[in-house]
Amino acid sequence: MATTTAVLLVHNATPDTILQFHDQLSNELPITKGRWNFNFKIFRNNQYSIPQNQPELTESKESKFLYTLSPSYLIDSTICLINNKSSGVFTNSIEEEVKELGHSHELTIPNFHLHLGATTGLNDKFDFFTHSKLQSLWLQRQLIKGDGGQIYELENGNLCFRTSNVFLHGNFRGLLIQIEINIKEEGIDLEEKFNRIKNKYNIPDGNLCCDVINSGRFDKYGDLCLQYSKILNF
Amino acid sequence: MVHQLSLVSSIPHSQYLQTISSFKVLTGLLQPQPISTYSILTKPNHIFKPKFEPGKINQIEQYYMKCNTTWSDTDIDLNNPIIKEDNIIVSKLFTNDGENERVWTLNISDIPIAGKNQQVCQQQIYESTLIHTSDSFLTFLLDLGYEVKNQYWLKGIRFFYGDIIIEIYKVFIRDDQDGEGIDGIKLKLLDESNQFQIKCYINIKNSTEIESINSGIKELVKLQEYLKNLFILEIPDRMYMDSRLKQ
Repeated sequence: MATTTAVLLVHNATPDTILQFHDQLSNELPITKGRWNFNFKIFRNNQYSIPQNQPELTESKESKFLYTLSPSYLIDSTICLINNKSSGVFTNSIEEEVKELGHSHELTIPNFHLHLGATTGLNDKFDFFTHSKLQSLWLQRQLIKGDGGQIYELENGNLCFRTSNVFLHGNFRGLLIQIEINIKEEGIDLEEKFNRIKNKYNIPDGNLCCDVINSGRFDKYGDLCLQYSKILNF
Repeated sequence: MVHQLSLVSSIPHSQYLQTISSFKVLTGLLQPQPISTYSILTKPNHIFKPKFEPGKINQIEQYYMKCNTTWSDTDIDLNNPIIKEDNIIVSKLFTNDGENERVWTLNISDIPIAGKNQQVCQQQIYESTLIHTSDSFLTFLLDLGYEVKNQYWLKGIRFFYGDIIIEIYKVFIRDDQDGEGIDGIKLKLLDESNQFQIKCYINIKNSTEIESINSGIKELVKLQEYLKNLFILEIPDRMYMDSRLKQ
C-alpha cells in the first residue's frame, strides 16, 4: 500500500467558504488530529554562481529553484526539492531521543548514525543550513506560511485532509487543502481519483495538483513538495 | 549551529594501550564507544563571481562541504599497528547496498575564531542530516551544487568525560597503488607511522550560550593540565581549518 497526496489552493476563499468546508467535513464525523502549520521557502540560484563550463559569463543564464517545505506534523523535518527533480528529506530528531519522549515520528536519524560519530546530534534545519552556508548557490526569495491548519481523518484512516490558511508577507492568499490517500492498486489515474474525492466531499474549486516527480516510483515527501511548489507559485 | 570547543594531540601507536587505560580510569568508562565514519569532501560545482560594488562588503563565501556517513568496517583491530599486508578492503558504497537507505550528514564549518589569547579552538559548525532522497545521494548533491573531491575513512573509539568527548582514531585513505583488480576499495593509513589522532571537544548548541562556553573552556583546560604527562593537548592551526574556497 502506498500513500499519495494532492494539494489544492482555493484562491478566492472567503471566511464563509472556509467555515462551510469545515462544517461539511465535520458532518462526515472525521477523527480530528489536531492542528498544524507549515513553512514553504523558495530559493533561486545565485546568479553570480556560474556553471563551470561557461567561465566567460559574468552572470549565470540558468534559472533554477530550490524549495523547502517544513510541515509541523513532520516534527523537526524539512523536505527539499531541487529543480523539480531531486528531492531529499532532512530531520533533526534522533531515534532514541524521540523514543524517550514517547513520541512516534516517522522520520528520525537512526541511533547508529549518532553513536558511530557521523553527526554531532545537533542538527540545523535544512532551510537554515542553506540560508546560512549555501548562499553562493541559493538565495531565499520567498517565505510562504501556512497557519491555523486542521487535520481530519476519514474512511478508516485511508483519507486525510489537512487544511491551512496561506499567507505571503502577512497577506492571506487562499485556503490550502492537502489530500492524502492510501492506494492499493497500481497504475490508477490519480487525477481522476482525486477529482472523485473532491466531488464527494464538496471541496471548493481551486487548482488541484497531484503531479509526481517520477510516475514510475512514488516518493511521498518529494511529490508533496513538488505539489506545493506548483500551487504556491504566486 | 554547533559551537565547538576543542584541543588536539597525537600519540604513537606504542602509547595507545597505556592511553586508553588512563582514559578508562579517568572516565570510569570501561567500554569506550567505537566510532567509524566515512566522509566525502565536496566543493561547489559553480564558479562564484560576486559583483564588487564600492562601499558594499561581500559577505557571501563559498565553502567546501563534508558529507559524513557510517562505515561498517571490516575487522580492523586498533590494538595492533596497521601494516600494508592487512589488506583493508571496503565495499564500494555507491553500488546498491540493499534496502536500508544510507543516512548522510552535510557539514560546513567556519574558520575557528581568531585571537592570540585563545585557550582552546572555537569553531562554529553547521550540520543537516539527510535521511532520504528520491534519487541517489550523489545526484542530490550534484543538483544542490556540489561535486566530490576527496574521501577518507575514520576508525577509532571515544570516551565521555562530563561534557567532554575524547576521541582517539586513525584516518584511512584510498590506496590507489595496490587497488588493482579487487572488488571494492583498498585502504591505507593516511599517516603510515601508525600514529593515533586525539581530539577532545565539547559541543555547545549555540554560540550565544556564553556561560556554557566559558565553563567548557575551563573544563578543557583542566583536562589539558591533567593529561600533560601523557601527551600535550594543543590548539590546531586555524589556517588549516579554513573551509572557504579561495577565489
